[in-house]
Amino acid sequence: MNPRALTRFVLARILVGLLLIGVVTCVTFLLLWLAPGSPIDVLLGDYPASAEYRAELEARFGLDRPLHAQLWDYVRGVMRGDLGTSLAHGAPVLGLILARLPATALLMGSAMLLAIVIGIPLGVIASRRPYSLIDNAASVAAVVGYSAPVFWIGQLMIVGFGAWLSIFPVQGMRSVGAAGGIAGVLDVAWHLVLPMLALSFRYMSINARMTRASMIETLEKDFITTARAKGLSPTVITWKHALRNSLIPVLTVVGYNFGFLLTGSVLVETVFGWPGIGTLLYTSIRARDMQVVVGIFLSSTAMAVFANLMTDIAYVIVDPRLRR
Amino acid sequence: MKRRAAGMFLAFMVLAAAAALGGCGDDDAVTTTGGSVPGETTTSAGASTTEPTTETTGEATSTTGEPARRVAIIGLGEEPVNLNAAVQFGAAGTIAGKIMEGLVVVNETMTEASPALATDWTVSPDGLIYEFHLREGVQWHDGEPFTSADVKWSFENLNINHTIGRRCLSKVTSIETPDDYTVILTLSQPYGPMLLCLGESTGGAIAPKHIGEAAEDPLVDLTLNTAPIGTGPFKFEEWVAGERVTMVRNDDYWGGAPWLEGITVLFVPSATTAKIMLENGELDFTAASVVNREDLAELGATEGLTVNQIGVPGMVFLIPNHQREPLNSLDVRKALYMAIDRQFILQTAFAGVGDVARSIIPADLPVANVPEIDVNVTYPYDVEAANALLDAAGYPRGGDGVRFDLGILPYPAGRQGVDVAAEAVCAMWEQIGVTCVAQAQESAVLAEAAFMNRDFNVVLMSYATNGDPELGVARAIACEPEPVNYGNPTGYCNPTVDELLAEAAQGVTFEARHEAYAEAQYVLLEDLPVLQLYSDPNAFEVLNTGLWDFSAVLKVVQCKSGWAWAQVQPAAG
Repeated sequence: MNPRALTRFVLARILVGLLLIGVVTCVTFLLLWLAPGSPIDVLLGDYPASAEYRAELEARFGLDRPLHAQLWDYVRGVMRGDLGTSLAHGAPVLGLILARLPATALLMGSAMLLAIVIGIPLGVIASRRPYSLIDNAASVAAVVGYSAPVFWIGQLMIVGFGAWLSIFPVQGMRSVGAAGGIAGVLDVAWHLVLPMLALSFRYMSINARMTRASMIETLEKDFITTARAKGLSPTVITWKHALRNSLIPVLTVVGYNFGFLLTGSVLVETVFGWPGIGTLLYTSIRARDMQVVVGIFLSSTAMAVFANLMTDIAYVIVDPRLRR
Repeated sequence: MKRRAAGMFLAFMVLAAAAALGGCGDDDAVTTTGGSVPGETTTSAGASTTEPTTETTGEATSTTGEPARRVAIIGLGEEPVNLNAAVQFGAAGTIAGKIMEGLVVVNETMTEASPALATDWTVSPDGLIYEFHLREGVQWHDGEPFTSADVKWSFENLNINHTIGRRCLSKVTSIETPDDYTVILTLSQPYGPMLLCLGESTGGAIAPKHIGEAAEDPLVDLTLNTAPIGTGPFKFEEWVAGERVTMVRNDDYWGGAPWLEGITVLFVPSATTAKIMLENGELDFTAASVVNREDLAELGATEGLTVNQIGVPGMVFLIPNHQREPLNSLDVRKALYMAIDRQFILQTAFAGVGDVARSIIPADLPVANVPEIDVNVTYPYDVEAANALLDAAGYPRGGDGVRFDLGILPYPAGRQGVDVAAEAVCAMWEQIGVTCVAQAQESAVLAEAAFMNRDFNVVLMSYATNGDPELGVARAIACEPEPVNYGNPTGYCNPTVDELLAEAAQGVTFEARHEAYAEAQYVLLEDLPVLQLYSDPNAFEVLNTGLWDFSAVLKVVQCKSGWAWAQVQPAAG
């Protein structure tokens, strides 16, 4: 694809992406506004408060204004880069999200990377001899990995590594009183192992199954027969020729999953005490903390749009047929 | 085909092994001999190694008798939304209660108040004027002097919004500060539990005026909410979002610098993990409800760990909607109550921790404890009698054996034991011909439906007592003409009860209040407006007494007050 066409393509996608973010923001705002309960309830706590006091608080935080006024104020703020203030926390939303974003991105990103590095080769190996012992074992393992609840896997690991083996830490992202620098990085890495493994099983399984299916289909194509006839070794055929041509569906799945990078996983974060965004989202929904929830959705949507855009660009790079 | 079958068999073995592993989870109490979790100590440089560190276990104190770690580690089940104890109840108090202080420190049963930022006080004979003399020479953590102006500003701007604090402070008509070290509160009516609201975690934490005044809106001020400044024995150091809060020793504390160099509060949302960390010595203290009730027995039996069960009880009870048939009939309510096996619920839903309720006001509150009153004697578990009562009341069984239909909404959905209790009650009611479904709902949805719209049949509710009937359960039985959240949605209005409750609230002496509460409870016994099930001790902190001497901490309400933590020392021997 020539550079101008590519640029036009990317710009169009970005515009659509911005439109999408706008729609998501408004819809989320509306849904939360419609849901029973109000952020005032969290401020008041689970204890009776007089109607006057309640009205006073609502006026103070601008919650008695009509929906369109609140929404317009919010949108204006976002365009200035101000995501609003969390009523429950009494702190700016942007700060809340940014404080937790790196932890989530680290956990999700490393889980997905591991899933690529291990899942794809596993799929390739399984596809070499379909329905063999190895393939069946791998397939069942993949189904288990995909279906088993991630919090159950996590708890198994905690019991295994925390209570029995005591190799990896089972809680949190850093040790109490950890130093900075290289030692600090290693500390975080050590804490990352278990939650990353627990989370990656699912993505690993998806990648493996996808790769396997795609490889089996590719291996039946004519050009593979030609390659065999030419006398190329099975290894070269599998890993160089067949794999490259099987990657499009896998790329689709991987790109799709990367869209969830910033969403985090409440379950894994809760089980391992990982300080991510998932927990913040959960508690904010319960507290009807509109600004935080919309802020998180906004960043997640942006991430999804970005991931899809990257996937599309990757298609163009990987598949010469698209370059025309 | 053979190869395929072999592969399937192998896979099944893998599954079976995984299931077996999952089944035998954490059965034996694991006392490790050398906590090999990396980087526990603050004194070692560069934290993470896998070598065993001896400081983290219960029994391994060094030969000099002092643990090498001088930082206590507390586990909290949920991260507080903010750290302003002047406004936030609950988890914030565990942290900010060590940084901020109140005029008094309240004891563990919430029956006494001892001096903290107030050295002494007088109460006028009519109970309307409280005069506090403040401690002199106290400084805020940023060096500014603490004066009566701080008390006045804090009470008027922050504490008035506190869930419990506002209950007391709303009775205050004026706050005068004739000099820097005197505060005079004038009340509109005498109020028995007044002093109880003035503890650091019960609504009376004092925030600095010089910080709060500079804020545009003190309720959303960043310093007050995320980096609190107080007068307490520990200073705020850092809040790592989602992970922990660290505090360091305040060397200039008026009560003497603490032995501890600091306190770290970790957020451990998973109860299983918390239990393992306690057993491994990675946590010194867990606040209430961090671990599962079911694990308490095992933890208590672990060497070096102690479970504390002295606290401020809560009450779990069923709220029937008197504005609906047939719940408006007293006989029907009696029958429904007698069909419930409360012992069974205590043992199964609540793991035997706590007591069956004897009255709507828990017997653990001395001011309302009347040994002669016991709903379980007046309305014992008796399915036959329940059936007979319903027949006589005009609700015979239909052809399908059903009399009428009820639903139970447990609140808060997902809280330990409440869901199970609701299911159990439903099952018991099915036995007397009442079809029942326990339907969990999200708390905000339920609150709106039940309290504001009064659109419900039965709610299974738990109310905190906050140490005094006036601050906790009175709201469940006082008349409520206008709907309020978390009040009394039954529609029950008995002027006698209201009068007695008001009398007790305004009572100036223990005896006067006790008499009023006793009389009220006799009336309530007859009226049976709500069906009380379970007195929740609500306080089962787990402490590492093998490593630390927590005796001072056990004597303050919910083990929160910094003043008590300043006295924590290594365990003797």
